[in-house]
Amino acid sequence: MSTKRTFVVRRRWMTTEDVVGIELAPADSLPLPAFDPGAHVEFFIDRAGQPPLVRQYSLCNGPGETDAFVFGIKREPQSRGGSHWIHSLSEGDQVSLGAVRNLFPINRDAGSHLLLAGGIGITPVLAMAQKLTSVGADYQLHYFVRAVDHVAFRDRLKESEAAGRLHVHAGLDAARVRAVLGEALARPRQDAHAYCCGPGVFMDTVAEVAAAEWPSERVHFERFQAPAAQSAQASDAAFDVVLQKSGRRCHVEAGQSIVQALAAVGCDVMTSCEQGVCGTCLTDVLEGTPDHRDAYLSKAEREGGRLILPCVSRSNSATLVLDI
Amino acid sequence: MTTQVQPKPLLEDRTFLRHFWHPVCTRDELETAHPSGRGPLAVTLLGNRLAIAKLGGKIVAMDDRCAHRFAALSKGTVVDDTIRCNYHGWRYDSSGKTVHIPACPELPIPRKAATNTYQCVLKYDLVWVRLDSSWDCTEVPYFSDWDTPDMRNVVVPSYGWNTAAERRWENFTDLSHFAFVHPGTLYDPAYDRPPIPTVDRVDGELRFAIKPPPEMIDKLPENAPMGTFTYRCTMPFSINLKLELYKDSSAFTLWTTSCPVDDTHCRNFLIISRAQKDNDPDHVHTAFQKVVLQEDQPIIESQFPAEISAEEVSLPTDKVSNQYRKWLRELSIAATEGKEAFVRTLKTGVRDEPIKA
Ligand code: FES
Ligand code: FES
Ligand SMILES: [Fe+2]
Repeated sequence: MSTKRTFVVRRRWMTTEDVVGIELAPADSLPLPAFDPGAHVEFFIDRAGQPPLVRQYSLCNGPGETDAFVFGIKREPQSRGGSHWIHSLSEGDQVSLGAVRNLFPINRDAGSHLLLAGGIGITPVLAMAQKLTSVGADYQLHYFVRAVDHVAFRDRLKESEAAGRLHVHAGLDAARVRAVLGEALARPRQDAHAYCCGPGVFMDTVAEVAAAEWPSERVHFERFQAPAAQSAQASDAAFDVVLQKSGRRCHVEAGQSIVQALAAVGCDVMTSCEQGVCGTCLTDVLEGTPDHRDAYLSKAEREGGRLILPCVSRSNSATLVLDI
Repeated sequence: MTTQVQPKPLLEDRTFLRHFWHPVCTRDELETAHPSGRGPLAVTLLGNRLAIAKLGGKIVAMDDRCAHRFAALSKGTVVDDTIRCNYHGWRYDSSGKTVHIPACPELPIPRKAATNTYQCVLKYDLVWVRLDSSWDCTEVPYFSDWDTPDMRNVVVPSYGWNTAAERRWENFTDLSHFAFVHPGTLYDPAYDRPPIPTVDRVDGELRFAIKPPPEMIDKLPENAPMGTFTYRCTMPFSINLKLELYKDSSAFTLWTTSCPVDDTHCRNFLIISRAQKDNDPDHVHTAFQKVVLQEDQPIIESQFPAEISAEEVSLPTDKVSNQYRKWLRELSIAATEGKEAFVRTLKTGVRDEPIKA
C-alpha cells in the first residue's frame, strides 16, 4: 500500500560525531506531501538477494522547509544495516522512501507543551520545537545527551535557546535523569501535553515519573518498533542442549537457534511463527538458565526459568536440559 | 485424490467455557418471541439447546427438552407461571420440575419428570446464562457505560456468524485489518503498519490501548468513530472498546460480546453507547456499524476451519491475538485441573513487560 518514491541526497553533513544530517529532495521535483511535526518516513534499503530492509526515521523539518525532507540519523554500532547504510550515502545518491506517517502529532488543543528528548530522540521533537517557536506557543524542551558535544542540530535549536526554552542535560546518570524529569514533570498545567522520544529505558523512566501527575492520554511517546524478538546473532555464545526424554545431546552454534540445531540432529520441534510470538514451540526447561528472546512469555514466566521458546531463545548456562 | 489436511484446533477442550456467563438473546428478542411477551425462545449455547422464558417475573433457562417424549419446550406456551409442552401438555415450573401432567393428574409425578435449569440473569438488557455454576467464580462481563448518566445506549439486534466466537473476538480486536477490510470506512489505508500495544491481564480482563493517527479523520466519513481506543476485554468473548473522539473529545463506547453457539457458530451482541447530543439520531450509528459488519463478515466466515488453530502463522503485530490465545489455552488446561487452578489462571494479573533490548 505504501508507494515508493525516489529521492536524491541534496546535502549531507555530520551534526555530531555519530549523527549525520541529510536533506532528501524528490527526484521528480514535484512537491512533497503535507506533513506535520512528529511525522516519520519509511526508508527502503535494498540488499542483494534479500527483501529490502525497512526503517523509519523522524523528520526534523522546520515550518516552511517544504521542498526537502530533513533527517538526523545516528550510526548505531549494532545496527543490522539501516543506519550504517544511510551514513555511507553521499550527495547525489538516490534513496527510495515510502509514505509519511504521523503517530506523534502535536496536540492542537494543548495550552502548553513539554518536549522530552533522549539522544537521537531529538529528531521529531526538534520539528515540534521549531513549529511551536514559529506560532509563539508555550513550551519547554529538555534534551538529554551523553555529553555536550553530542547535541545535534545546534543551529536549529538556537531560537529555543535564545528564548530560554531549551534545557540541555549532559552526562547525567540514571538517578539524576530521573530527578530532572521529576522536576520537569511536576505540577503540570491542566491543558499541558508532554511528548517524549528517546531510548526505551529513557521513555520507560518518563512514563514512570509522569504517572504520578499526568493522565496517560496527555503524555505521548514515539516508539519505533524494535524487532519484537531478537533472533540469533553471530555474537551469541554457543551452548549445549540435552534432551531428557531421548537422552540425546546437541550443540547449538552461535547464529543458530535451538530449533535449528535440534532439527539438524533429527528432532523436530513443532513451530509456527519462528519469531517467538505465538507459543507453538513452548517447551519445559528441566535444568539450566534460559536466555529469553521471545515476546510471548510474561515476566513471571521468564523469571521462573521453567519455560522456553526454543525458536528464538538461547541459554545463559553452558547446558540446557529440555523436556523433549 | 488427496485430501486437504485439517489443521488441529488450538483449544482441544472447550468445556472451560461452561464456567462463564454468556449472552443468549436480547431482552427485546425474548419479549417479541411470543405475544405474551414471556417467550419461550429457543437458543443454543455451547451446543446445548435451551428454552428461555419468563416465568413468574423471572427469566429462566432450561434444557429445551420435555422429559416425556423429548419434544422441544421452546415450541410450548407459557401458562400462568409454568411452561407447557405442547405435545402432551406437561407443565414445568421455574425450577424445571414437572408440576402438572394432564393425562393422569391423580398419579404422583415421577421423580425424573424434570428438565435441567441454568443460572440466568438480565443485565445490559441482555439475557445471560451460565451453564456450570459449580465453581461460581465468574461475573457478567464489564461494560463501562450502561449506568453512566448522559450516555445513550442502543442495544443492536443480535446477529449470527458462521464462525467460532474466538474468531469474532479476534476480528473485533484486530489492529492489522483496518487498512484492508475497512479502507475509507474505519481507517486511512495509508496506515497499514499496525501498532503493537502492551497487553495486560487485570481481573480477568485483557487490557490494551492504541492511539490511531488523529489526522486520519480528515479522510474518513463524518460518523466514523475515531479517537483513542481503550480496550477492556472480559474473558473470554467480551470487548469494551472505549473511545475518546478526536473531533470533540466526547465519549463513545462500542461494547460487544460473542456468544459461543457451538464450536463453529456464534451469536453476537453489540451495544453502541455515546454521549447524548442533539441532532444525532440512533440510525446514523446503527447503519454505520452495519456497514462495518458487512465488510468483516465475508472475510471472517471464510477463515477455515472455523476453530482457531496453532498452525496459523503469527506475527509480532498479532500480539493481541497471540496473548488472547495464550490465555484461552491456559484457561482450557487449568479447568481440567480443577477450580483452584482455573481461578488462579483467570484472576492472576500479568503486566506486560517486554524484554528490553
Ligand atoms: S514457533 Fe512461535 S514462539 Fe516459537
Ligand atoms: S493476510 Fe491475514 S489472513 Fe490472509
Ligand atoms: Fe473489522
